[in-house]
Amino acid sequence: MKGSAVGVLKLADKQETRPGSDWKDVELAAKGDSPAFERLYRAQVGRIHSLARRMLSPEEADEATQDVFVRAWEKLGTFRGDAAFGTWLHRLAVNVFLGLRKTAGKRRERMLEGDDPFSQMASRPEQSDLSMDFQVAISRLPAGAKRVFVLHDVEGYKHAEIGEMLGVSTGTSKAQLHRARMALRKYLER
Amino acid sequence: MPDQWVDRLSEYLDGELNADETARLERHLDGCDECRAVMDEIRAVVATAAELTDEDPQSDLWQGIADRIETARVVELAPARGRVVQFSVPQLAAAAVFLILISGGIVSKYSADPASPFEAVAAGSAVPEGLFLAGNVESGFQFAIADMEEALEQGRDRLDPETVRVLEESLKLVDGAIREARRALAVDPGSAYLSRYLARTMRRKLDVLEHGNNLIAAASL
Repeated sequence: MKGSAVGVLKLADKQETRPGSDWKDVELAAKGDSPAFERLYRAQVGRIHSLARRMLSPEEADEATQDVFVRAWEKLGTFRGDAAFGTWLHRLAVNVFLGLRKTAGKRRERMLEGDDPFSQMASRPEQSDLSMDFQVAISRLPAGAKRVFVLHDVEGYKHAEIGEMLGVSTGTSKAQLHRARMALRKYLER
Repeated sequence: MPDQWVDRLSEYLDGELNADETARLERHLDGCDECRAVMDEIRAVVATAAELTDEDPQSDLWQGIADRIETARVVELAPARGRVVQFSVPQLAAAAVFLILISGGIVSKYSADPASPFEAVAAGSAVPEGLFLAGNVESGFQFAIADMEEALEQGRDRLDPETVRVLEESLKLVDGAIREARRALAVDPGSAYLSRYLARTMRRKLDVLEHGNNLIAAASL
């Protein structure tokens, strides 16, 4: 029986590793060409909006996504092309969402850290869309566990990167991930 | 779960245990049905997460982004003579709010305290709920806009062509939004939402005109 690295491999699947066909649009947008920036938006909005839904909530996702693209427009001049635009934008989005969460404060956290995240949750209907239900289950995780789970298992970041982004130790990141998986395991087995 | 190894299963799955720990855990898994079952369930969670796909938002968010970046672009224009002058959005918003207030501004439809909506406008960039433009108030906007348009026309030769082009594009966009708001209000004159939208677009026009005149002033130094 061998350990799996599904989460780590996911990052390579989802993030570009070199400048792609959007490079010209990035250059144009950096010079103030808003149609070029709209093309970049069209290419990336699904990924950023999905990240917002998972890290924040479906209700906050639209406005948070707009915040990310406005911030990207403002900071395009600092984009040096060391990574692909999509990778740069994704990291920017994570920072924006983490900042929004800090600003909102703990009053907006849905669950107390000590609560069983699924204690109030009905069993999953047998015929329902598993992917959709799973996303609902993720949204009900305690905030800390949810952030780590989304960043690691959905987005493919490593614990060292997550620790840096969240300002926690690698050990804490690992513990939160395990906690999230154990909670979601309970949901999947219902 | 009493088993001491259960808390290490995620690390094992992610390949983060050292060789000795891995060997010990694998020996344990060989004889522990419960841990193997938990392991399979965690593996299912990880696989399900990896299969999640991205989806576009249900509504198009671009227009809201375009409105915001257009304002940002206007406030970062460089005037002629190569000297960069920057004005923050809050500074321009404050100037626009001031112009609105001195020109009669916005009146409250619902609030019992006529002062509160003005304070709300001054405190934030959004026009608060429950506001509408009265006919004589809109004429105040029009006077302010006409004055600033005239000043901009007289000083435009002092700006470089690219600056003029962006200013004109911005004004064209805002004028289009104002026309749309007027058309919609003609159909639904009692709509508080449309009144607020009209107020916002007129204030945006004041922002642009004010900025253009500031650039002219800076270029004239």
